Amino acid sequence: MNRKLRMLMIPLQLLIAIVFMGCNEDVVYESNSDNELLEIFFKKASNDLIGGRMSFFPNRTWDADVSPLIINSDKDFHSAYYGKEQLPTIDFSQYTLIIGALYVPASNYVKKQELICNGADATLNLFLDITDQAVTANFIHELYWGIYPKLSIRSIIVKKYKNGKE
Amino acid sequence: MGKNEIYRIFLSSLMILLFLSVNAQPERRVLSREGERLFISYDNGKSYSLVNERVVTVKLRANKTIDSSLKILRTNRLGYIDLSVPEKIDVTEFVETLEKNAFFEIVKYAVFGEVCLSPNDICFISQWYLSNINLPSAWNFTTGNPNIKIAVLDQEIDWNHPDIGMGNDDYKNINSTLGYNYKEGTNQSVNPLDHGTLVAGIIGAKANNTIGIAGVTGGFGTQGVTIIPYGVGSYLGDRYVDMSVVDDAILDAVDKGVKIINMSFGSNSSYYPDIDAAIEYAHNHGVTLVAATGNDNFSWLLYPASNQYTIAVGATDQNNQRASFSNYGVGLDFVAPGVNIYGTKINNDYGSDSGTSFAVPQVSGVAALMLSVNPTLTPDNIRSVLRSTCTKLSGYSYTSGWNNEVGYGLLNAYAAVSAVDIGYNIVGKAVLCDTATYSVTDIPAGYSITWSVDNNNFSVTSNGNQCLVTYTGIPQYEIANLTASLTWNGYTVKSVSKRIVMHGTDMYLEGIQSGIYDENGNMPAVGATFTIPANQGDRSMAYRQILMNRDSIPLDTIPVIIDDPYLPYVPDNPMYGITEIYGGADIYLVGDRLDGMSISFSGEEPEYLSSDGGTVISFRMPEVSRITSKLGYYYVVLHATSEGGCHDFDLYFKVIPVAGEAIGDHEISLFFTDSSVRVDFDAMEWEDLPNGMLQPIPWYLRIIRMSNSAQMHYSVNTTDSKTVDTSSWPADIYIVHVNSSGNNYTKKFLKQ
Repeated sequence: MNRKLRMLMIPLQLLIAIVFMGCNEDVVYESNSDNELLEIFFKKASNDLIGGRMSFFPNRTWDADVSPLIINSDKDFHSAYYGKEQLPTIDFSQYTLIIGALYVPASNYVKKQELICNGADATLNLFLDITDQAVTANFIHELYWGIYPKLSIRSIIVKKYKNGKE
Repeated sequence: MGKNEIYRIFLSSLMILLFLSVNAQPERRVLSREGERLFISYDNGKSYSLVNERVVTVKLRANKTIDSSLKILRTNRLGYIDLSVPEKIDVTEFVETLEKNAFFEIVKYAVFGEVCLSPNDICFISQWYLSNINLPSAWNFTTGNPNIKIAVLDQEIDWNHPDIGMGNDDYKNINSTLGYNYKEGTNQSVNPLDHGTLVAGIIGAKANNTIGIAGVTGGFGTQGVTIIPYGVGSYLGDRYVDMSVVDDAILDAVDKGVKIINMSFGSNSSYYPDIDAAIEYAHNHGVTLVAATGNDNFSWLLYPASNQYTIAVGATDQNNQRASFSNYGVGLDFVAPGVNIYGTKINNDYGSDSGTSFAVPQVSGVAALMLSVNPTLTPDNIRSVLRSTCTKLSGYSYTSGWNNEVGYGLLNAYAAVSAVDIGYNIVGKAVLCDTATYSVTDIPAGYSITWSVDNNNFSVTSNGNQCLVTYTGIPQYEIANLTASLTWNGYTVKSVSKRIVMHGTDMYLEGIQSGIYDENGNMPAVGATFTIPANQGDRSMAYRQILMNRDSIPLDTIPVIIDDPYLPYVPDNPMYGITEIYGGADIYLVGDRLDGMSISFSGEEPEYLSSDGGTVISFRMPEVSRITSKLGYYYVVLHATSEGGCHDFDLYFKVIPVAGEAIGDHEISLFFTDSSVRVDFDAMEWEDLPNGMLQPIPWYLRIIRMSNSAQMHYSVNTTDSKTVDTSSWPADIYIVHVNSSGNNYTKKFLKQ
């Protein structure tokens, strides 16, 4: 019951008010991930990707980045997901989900991401950092995801930044 | 139309068949010529080998037959066929043409010398990295000993993968019960992942089991090294390693008798005093530890690669250059391939991955091979040899052998394993005279030798590094393999065998005796009487006369023309080769059951002579035209010996210029109508006169009898054709000299 309530509270937890459908030019949106259920779900999905299971992008090229998906409906969300977990509820009438994957050393993780709108298109800046934890010395597909106000963008350009450099 | 033209037309016809899509897959290779010899090197790491330029080995596809214009030298029960390379057709041209023909499944150069183990694992071809570290050649020494244990500290491994664990072959290269899964608190693999499964497969995937890949030390249809898995994954996520249990895993591995610890992970932090202490403890207990430098292109190494007792391994790409991501710098030992590494994945799958993670198990595997052939090596020995045997990569400068980006260079499995292999041979007679003593030398301290023989008619009495072999059967020709096994700590490290032969008291060369053999290699029955066919001199037939075992050369030996210098292989023939040599061809003599061969020449010396010091000799006699001044019989005596000294074998060869064959460029026609009755000569030439008439030019005919060359046997000056009655001449070889217009021509003929 608590979970359902919390899922229903997602819109309230988001501080960005949605006043129109679209994407204002040069507006910088930061992903709102302040939701524990979504965090848990995508952490599991990220492990699946690393571990060789197939929750997202089962047909990805093994040594290349995966272009992000712009998900605006439950149907699209279900279509993108190949795992066995129950999908968290997202109010797609107000929000857009963007998920993709980077082919990076396992020591790398996406510390911060920001979406810059440019009319019908957008640029997604991903800021990588290196973990202090011990990790396997291989390359992985690092899953990134973000919840943004409802956007009507058609495509996204992804830019990676590591140590402040693109 | 000459024979060569026919062959060329045949080759052209084969080319037309290119539209057939299924071709024999050619191996990548490089051919190089040094002096008279052709060498070949393969991408898979095979060493250079001498190529027999006149023989090509093929295997036909199902329901295909070989073209009748191709000459078959020999076949075997497995369907391999040795073809003679047509005269004046280059062997490379011949091979490439056959490769493009869909009739052939396999087309290979015939090589003398070492051939590397080549496993039949179906994805072996995707394992490019094994060739880059020169591994297949190392497999000639060992493919791994199950007594050598490697601990893999990693994620959980899918040890049900049939290429690692138990499959249809009923054996596995992993012992899961000895290890421990710290994450799950069990020795079961609860959540197997790709990383650990790939690392384990690179080390010990079963080799030559027809499926998947071949591990570095995965055996060869037998059990290879023993992998002991330690699950050190973290609850933080699949990529993370729980460093708090790594020290426990290391200490447990030491207690379990592990000799190598593989750590394909790293941390940016280096403060792990507990792990430091465990690593030092393991090192002091004879355990070699190998770790990854990391993948962030840092100029420093991750931990535990940075630990002084750990071998730090970076990564290279397919071009043998440092992988762009591979960490480097102080402490880097060397590099191994780490980009696009193909291997085992979870759920019985296979796939590729990149990272220094996958360079590490190649090093661990090679270290296991080194220990398999020499289990007394210490971690410092192993590290030192691995460093010193590295291949120096181009594009990097080295100071005291070390470079900041690639350390001491690229891992070289063959060089490392061969450097530590305990080389020993059985010394003793190849041919047994009832009893013989055998010994091995240069056995390091701590090892012992166990002797055995595989034939019940031979008994062996061991005495340390020596043994006495006694033949206990009824004297007859018989073969046994005497084996000296090197043992250490209760198990066999390696074995060396020597074939020993017992001949009956009335020694007789089994399966062959002096006689005439036809071009198909058909042998007469033992003791049969042979009649040299009347058409023996006909070039359309090729007969060989074999004189063996100190046979004298019969006085009535009649020259036989040999078109093809290769005899069919006769398994029980101590020597095979040719007995009569047609100048200009390369001759290969291969001794079987012999310990050495030497060759001497009487009269004409060879243009080219090479011996491997053992049982292979190759040489080439001059072209006939260049020995015309010394026409006659030239005996090349091959003296083949056995260490036993019981019997020596002499094989005689004759260098016989071809009778009836034109020698040099000339216009003279010379007709051997019947050399036993008469010989017709026609050397007429005509001179143009100013009045348009032709005038015959005088020519001179001189004939010398070979066995009495001091005297002119016949001479005449004439302007006409000449028929000489030879019916009363003694049988011999006669040399004909003709002088016409100041030009000298020579031929010879045989009077029967």
